[in-house]
This record gives sequence, structure tokens and C-alpha cells, in this order.
Amino acid sequence: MALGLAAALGLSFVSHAPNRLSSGQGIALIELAPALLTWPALLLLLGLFMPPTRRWQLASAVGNAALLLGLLWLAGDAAARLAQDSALARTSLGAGFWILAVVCLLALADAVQGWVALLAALALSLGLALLLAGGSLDQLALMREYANRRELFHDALWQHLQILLATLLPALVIGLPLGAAAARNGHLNQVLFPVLNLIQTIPSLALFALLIAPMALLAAVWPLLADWGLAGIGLAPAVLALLLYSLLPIVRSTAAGLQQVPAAVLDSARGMGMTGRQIFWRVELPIALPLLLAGLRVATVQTVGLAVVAALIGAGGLGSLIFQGLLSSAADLVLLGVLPVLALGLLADAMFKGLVRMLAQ
Amino acid sequence: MIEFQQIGLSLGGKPVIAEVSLRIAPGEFAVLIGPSGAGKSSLLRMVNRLLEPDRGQVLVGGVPVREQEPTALRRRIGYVIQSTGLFPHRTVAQNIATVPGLLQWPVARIAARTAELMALLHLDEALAERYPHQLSGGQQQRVGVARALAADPEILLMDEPFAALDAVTRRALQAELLQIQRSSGKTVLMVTHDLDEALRLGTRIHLLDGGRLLQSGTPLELMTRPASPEVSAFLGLTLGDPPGREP
Repeated sequence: MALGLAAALGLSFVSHAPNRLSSGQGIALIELAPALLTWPALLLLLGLFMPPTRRWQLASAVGNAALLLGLLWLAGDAAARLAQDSALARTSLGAGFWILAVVCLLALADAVQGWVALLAALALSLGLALLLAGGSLDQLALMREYANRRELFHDALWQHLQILLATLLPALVIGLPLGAAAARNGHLNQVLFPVLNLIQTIPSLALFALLIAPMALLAAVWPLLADWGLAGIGLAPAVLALLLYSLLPIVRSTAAGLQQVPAAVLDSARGMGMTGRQIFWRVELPIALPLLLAGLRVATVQTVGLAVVAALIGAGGLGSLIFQGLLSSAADLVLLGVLPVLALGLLADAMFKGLVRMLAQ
Repeated sequence: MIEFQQIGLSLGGKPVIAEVSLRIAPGEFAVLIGPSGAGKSSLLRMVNRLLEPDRGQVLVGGVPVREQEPTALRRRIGYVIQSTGLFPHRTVAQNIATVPGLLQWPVARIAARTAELMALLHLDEALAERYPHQLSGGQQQRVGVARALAADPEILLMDEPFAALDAVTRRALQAELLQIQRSSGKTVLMVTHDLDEALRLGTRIHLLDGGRLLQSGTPLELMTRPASPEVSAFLGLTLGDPPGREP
């Protein structure tokens, strides 16, 4: 809390630079809005020490959400005022903003649970969308980068989603039967999991690099494969590597899910005259589903993150924005790549958690 | 109705059942009793082909089960086990409707039958939409019995159905089962190690030990004319150690 307070008062809230390359000059929050925002912010921080009654939590949630959106608006407004001098000027979000934003989010997450959390997330998204649509954030460096690379950004996002889908669908198609087989066959179990574990321990960059030679060779030997898009670099080796990584969580959770089906349930299912297929689809799979979804959640979140690294071997995706930004030391471009990755990961995580909770009822 | 002909079974090289022959008439309440490891459950599971004998054959309705399609055979035979084996992801009503569903009865008929069975087993209507884990042990086993009776099978196989229940609940369920069996004329084959239960329910009791049939008879015959010292020991008629138990 003290950190948040220090951030609110001292650290640079936004930083302004005359152009994209020179380093910026920090501007603290008190310089932007002395009394307007600091006092309510202080009150909210105090609110964290209030007894956790329902009313206080709700007030804290609403207040923190409003504060977060207000901070964003303030930064955007400052950027707009500062940008009047020149079109090249860049105003980035500073450390002060990020710390305050994180404090707000933490307080918000602390105050809400279950359906209220979903509502809060929706309200925040809506507020953010309104700010974006209203154009009040347009002059922030992040949005300027976006405006300059709109096409590139959309392509990268789309590619990222494609990589995700191209990885997870085959991973499911391969992983589910493999997991089902491992659940029934102890020998397979003993061979399969050490292999999958081994793959998981290979650093992602190394695995990408390892795949370049054999994939290039395959493409050279069978030109037909090359026509299908198989090559040493690019999408194919990236998807293959990500697929290998996502097999472990999917296979393990499938096997664990199927193994926890009680023997008595299987016995009575058989005794009532269900066929093997009926037992699998109507009894085993539904009972295993929550665990299976948990595995799929891990695989999805992991793939969203690892796909960033895949940009290094030319797979595209949001990683290409990040590396471009890193190479030209444009922090806002990096951010433009990181934020959607973060959002995708959180979204996938929340979606699967929600699904599991729905199934549990 | 059910006939075991010279059944022999070994599991992992160890003989489990040796030369057991017995016959269960239609409408009979037959009880297989004996200490654990006597081969009772194995015999029961041969009736609906969950287990195949190494030697001999089982006849159901005069036809060797080996010649009957397993799934079709099982759908004609009710099956109740001790730990109920209820489907945890399905409601009470869905659990009861399992076999009618497999037989593709029309929806309306399934609903009517489910309601009828819940009434028969004294299950409150409000329980229909509950899940098994929300029920008491006694209620769960009532659902188990209702599920086994759903498609109106002629034969009911019960493997220690009430062993996990408390004494009061067990008594109540035993009485209800007896009433259902008497009024419906179903053939019941029950496995138990509880002598009290066997004497109360069975019209005919088959005493097994170590994979052999020691004696078959009505409760009265067993109690008054035990065939061997082992039988009278098991029935508690002498002071000797009952078979199969550690001294």
C-alpha cells in the first residue's frame, strides 16, 4: 500500500518525449491532478483495511474500477495536451501509472468473487472500450504505435490466434486418445510420460532450433510436403513444437481424469448393458471432463505465451511485434504485443475456469 | 430360471470355484452365502456375463448365456452392487432411466416409469433432480434398486446390496425388497455374508465355502438339518469355528 502511495505521489505517472527515439521526461500524478484524484485514491487505499463486509467490498470494487478508468483517462488527457506541440511527440505510461493500476486491479480482485468478478471484468472492459472509442487515449504512445501499425497489429493478432488453433486442435485429436490409452495401459503409461516430460524440459527456443534441420530436410526430400507449407522455419516447426509442449498437460489430465472414474461405476455401467463405446462417451468422459478441461486450460495458456517465442523462427504472431519493439528499443511497441498476449491468456484462463465451475454444478 | 452347471473357475492359477451346480426356480429368492473368498460374487457375475467360467455353463431362461449377446442379456437382468455404482454426473431420475434409455423407450414412458419406481422405493419426488452425492446412503441404495428394476427385468442380481448401510436402514430396505419381490414375482439372486439377512429374505439358501457348495435348502432345512459339521458351525449351531474364518 505504501508502494502505491509513493507511486501516486512521486514516481512518473506518464513520461513525455519530443520524439519516439529520445528518452522521456517523467511527469508525476500530483502535477497532473493535485487534489482531484489523490484524495479519493488515498481513501480507496484505506478501504483495503476496512472489515471485509459485503458493502465495503462492493464500494471498494466500484471505487477501484472507477479509479483505474479515471487514471487511464487522465493519462490520455495529459498526452493529448502535451501532443499539441508536435506530431512526433510521444507520451508513454510511466511506472507510477502501472503500479497504481496494479494496486487497483489487486484491490478489485480481492473485493470480488464469482459472478461479481465476471461483472466487474465486463464493466472494466466496457469502460475501456468507451475510452478507446471516445478517442481520449489516442494520443498515448501505445495508441500511436497502434495507429501507425494497425494492419500489422491485426495481422499479428490473427496469426497468433491461428497458431493457437493450429496447435490445440491437433493436440486434442492426438492427446485425447493417447491419454485414454495411457489410462488403460500401464506399460504405455510408463513409456509415454517420461517422453512427454522430457519434451517439456527442453527450453522452447532450443526445441524450435532443433526442429529446423529435420523439418527442412523433410521438405527437401518430399517437395509435396513443402507445397503444404512444411519448412525449416515459419509456421510449421512452430506449430509442431507448440503441439509437443501441449501434449503433456492434455494427455496427463485425460489419463488422470479417466483413472479417477470409480471402479464400481464402471462395473454397474457394464452390468446394465452399456457397450464399451457407450461407457466411454456417457460415463467415463463426462466424469473425466472437469480434469480434462483443466489440462486444456494449462495447454491453452501455455501455448498463448510460448507462441510469442515462435516469432523468432518466423512464425509471426504477436511475438513479431514484441521482438520488433525490442530491437528498435521502442517500449510501447513491445507493450502493444505484450498486452494482447496477456489479455488472451487471461481470457482463456477465465473461460476454462468458468466452464469447469459450470460443470461442477 | 437360472442354472449353474458344474461351474469351475480359476483366477491367476488359483481355483476360485470348483464344480458348483445349482438351480434357481422362477420367482425364487435365492441367497448365496458364505465367508469372503467363497466364490459367491464370482458366481453371481457369471449370470450376466461380467465373468466367464473356465468350465461348465450358466443357463438363463434355459439358454446358455454364452449364446446370448452380453449387452442384450444384461439389459434384461437387474444389477445392484454394494457401493451402488450410481453415475455421479447424472441426476437420480437420469440414473433410474439408464436401462430404459439404452432400450430406447419413448420419453413419456421413461418419465412415467421413473416416477412409478421412485414411488415404489419411497423416494420423494423432490429427489428426482438431485445428484447421488446429495443423498444419504440409504437413499442412494434405493435409487440403485430402482435403477435395477427400471426396465422390469425378470431377474434381479444383488451383490451385498445393503452391506454398507446402518442396521435400521438395512432392515427397512430388506422389508421393502421382500415386499417388491413377493408382489412382482421376480427371481432374485442375492449375495451376502450376513446370515441374518439370508434367513430373513431367502426362500432358498446356498451355502458356499472355498469355491464349493456345502448345502442348499430352505432356511428351515438348513437350520434343522445341517448337512455337515462345517454347515452347522457356519450357522452358529455348534461351538466349533465356522469355515473360512481365522480361529
